[in-house]
Amino acid sequence: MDPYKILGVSQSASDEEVKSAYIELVKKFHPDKYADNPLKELAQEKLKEINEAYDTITKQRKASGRTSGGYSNSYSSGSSSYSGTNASIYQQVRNLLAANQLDRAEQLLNNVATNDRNAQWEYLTGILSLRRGAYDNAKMHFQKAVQMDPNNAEYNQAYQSVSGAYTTYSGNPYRAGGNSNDLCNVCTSMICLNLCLNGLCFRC
Amino acid sequence: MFGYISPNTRELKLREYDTYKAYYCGLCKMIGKRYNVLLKNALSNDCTFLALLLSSLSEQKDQADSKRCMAHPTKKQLILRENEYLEYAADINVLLTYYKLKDNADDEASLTAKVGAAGIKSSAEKAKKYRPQAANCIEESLKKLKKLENEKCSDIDLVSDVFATMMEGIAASAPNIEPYEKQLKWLFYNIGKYIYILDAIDDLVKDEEKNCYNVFLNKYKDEKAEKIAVEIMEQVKYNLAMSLSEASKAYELLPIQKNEGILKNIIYDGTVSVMDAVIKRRCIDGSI
Repeated sequence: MDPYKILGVSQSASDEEVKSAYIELVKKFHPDKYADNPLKELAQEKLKEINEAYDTITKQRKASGRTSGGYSNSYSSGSSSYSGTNASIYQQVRNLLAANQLDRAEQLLNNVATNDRNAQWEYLTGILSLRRGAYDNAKMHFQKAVQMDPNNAEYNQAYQSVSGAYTTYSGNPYRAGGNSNDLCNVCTSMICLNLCLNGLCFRC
Repeated sequence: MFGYISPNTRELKLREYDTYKAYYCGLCKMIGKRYNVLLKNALSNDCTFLALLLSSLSEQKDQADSKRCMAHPTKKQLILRENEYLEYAADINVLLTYYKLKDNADDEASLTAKVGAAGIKSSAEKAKKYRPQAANCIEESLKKLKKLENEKCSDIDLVSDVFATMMEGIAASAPNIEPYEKQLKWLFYNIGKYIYILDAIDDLVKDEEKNCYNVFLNKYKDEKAEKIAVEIMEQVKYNLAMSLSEASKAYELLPIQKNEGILKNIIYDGTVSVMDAVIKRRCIDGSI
């Protein structure tokens, strides 16, 4: 496929334009964004396609004398080691979640005795819920994980990312009107504008 | 029907608005042709979205004719020419209308719903024959919902999951979608969640008056609908936003060939505008 089409730029685009289109797409399909999404693999494929397209264009342009600043990127999901009771089970659950084997992951989590369910159990159950679309449960489990282990960065990050969902989505850059608060601002500024147009200009 | 999946028309370009209308009118015409003129009144924005999205995955250019129709006898309208996705959306529209009416007839003992359901029964039978897989999926899901309603389920994840799975099934039963099945399923699953939750919050007061099942009323049994609305608003906003955000992620992974402006408007703007309007309606006095 045409690498320019993949990046959504024309052949005549400058190196800068190509690069910024590339960076935008990388942000859009970033593994972090799709980490807990069932379409993770598709996003990875897409990112690979984007990387290859960018690579091809930079190489072509270099060969034809046009230069371009390189943008290196490598993503590795940091694997941290966990210890404690059931550590190996939790590692298995993580692997299963990564492989999208949700039923098996659920089974293992359910097998952990109620008394042994620690912050990591809550966190992993939250991830499982997220994948299944059970958002209400996911948030509850993340909250518990944070309460049980307030200093864990992974749990905090998960909880914060879901907690801000409404603000993030309703303030998405595509929306010209913005959220309801902005709408009020628009109204008041429209009133100001009208006053100005009527020759009654004064500062609000 | 629901109508929660529609564009924010104020932000559409004129030609995008024309295209959207051509789809809407095309679907209307298709329903009239395949079924019954009366059914045209039940035309929904949600099914227009279904037709628009599926068609936009194909490279074939949209073709529309300028014609007069019964709803607009004086002015000619752009009407999209028939395609297989319009046909599919028309069948789904009929099925959903029928089951919704039937459900209302059982629930509220409403005479209009009873008459309505009886009136379109033969059309629904026809639609079932055309789309057995989708019809089966809708029927099964509504049965499960009924069961949860009878059990007075108060778990929002659980009830909305059943409705979402129905929407997922509708997407999965569409013709020629194999290459995009995964994305479409997750997209429609999450749209289903969004519709279910939004509908529940929208109907909160009405359901309380009519003594009908509502997942939120069941969760806070002893309180008044208006007070519940304020109490659950954060939870509702969170669930709606998560569903929309996941839906948008699935959308971004679809190889859209045309009408991107309208589709993005619906997913990122139209939905949020409808959601904000419903939330505002429920939380009077600007308590949120």
